[in-house]
Amino acid sequence: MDEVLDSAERLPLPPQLDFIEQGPLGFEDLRSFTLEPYALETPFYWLRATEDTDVAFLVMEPGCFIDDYAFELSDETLKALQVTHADEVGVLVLLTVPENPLEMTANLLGPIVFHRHQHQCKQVVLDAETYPLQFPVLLEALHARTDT
Amino acid sequence: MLVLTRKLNEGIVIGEHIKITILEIKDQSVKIGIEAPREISVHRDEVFAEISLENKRARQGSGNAPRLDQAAHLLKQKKTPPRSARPPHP
Repeated sequence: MDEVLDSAERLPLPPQLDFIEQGPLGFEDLRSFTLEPYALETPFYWLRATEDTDVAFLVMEPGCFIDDYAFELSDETLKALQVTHADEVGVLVLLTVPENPLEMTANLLGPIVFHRHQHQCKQVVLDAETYPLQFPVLLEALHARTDT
Repeated sequence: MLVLTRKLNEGIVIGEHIKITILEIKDQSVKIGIEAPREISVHRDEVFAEISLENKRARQGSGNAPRLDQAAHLLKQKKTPPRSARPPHP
């Protein structure tokens, strides 16, 4: 069984990410981003465009809220990211945070995959039948709290 | 754009490894079979528009950042299994 890491034990994330080919969908021209923690002791990070600091996304490693999120990357993507070993690959998901932050959703259909040591990244498109565009991150936690 | 007319059960071959077949024509929809190598990704074109729109919803400007301390707290609780469910340390 894989060891489950809690946020304090996670591998460090690179301080910057550079999109290969094009930026995130809808922001194709923005390819260079910085990655910085939202705040200490939280799993959230800011992914902010260096060319336009008014474009930023809240992102998180999916392992922080879901255990069975797995997908295959095409040989083409692995090659473009210059990945040779599975442990070089990192995944971040974009968070959509509405007025009530507890209703935040994560985009599991279009995750960002990156090379942990070389900073190249790409937003990949997965199978829409399998992966939700708006996964409710805190739904279970909220229910558990209501039940007790 | 190359435009080809095909009938039911007829197909199109693209390159050496991709084959597209018209499987069903019914009312306003056409069912298409696609045979392609695993490394070729195939998506409905709406998927790109949907992700693009979701990225725009996810975008945070440089204004007030959302307060996520409560969310972080809930996530921390969620990822900490009850003591009894933890595997014993070696």
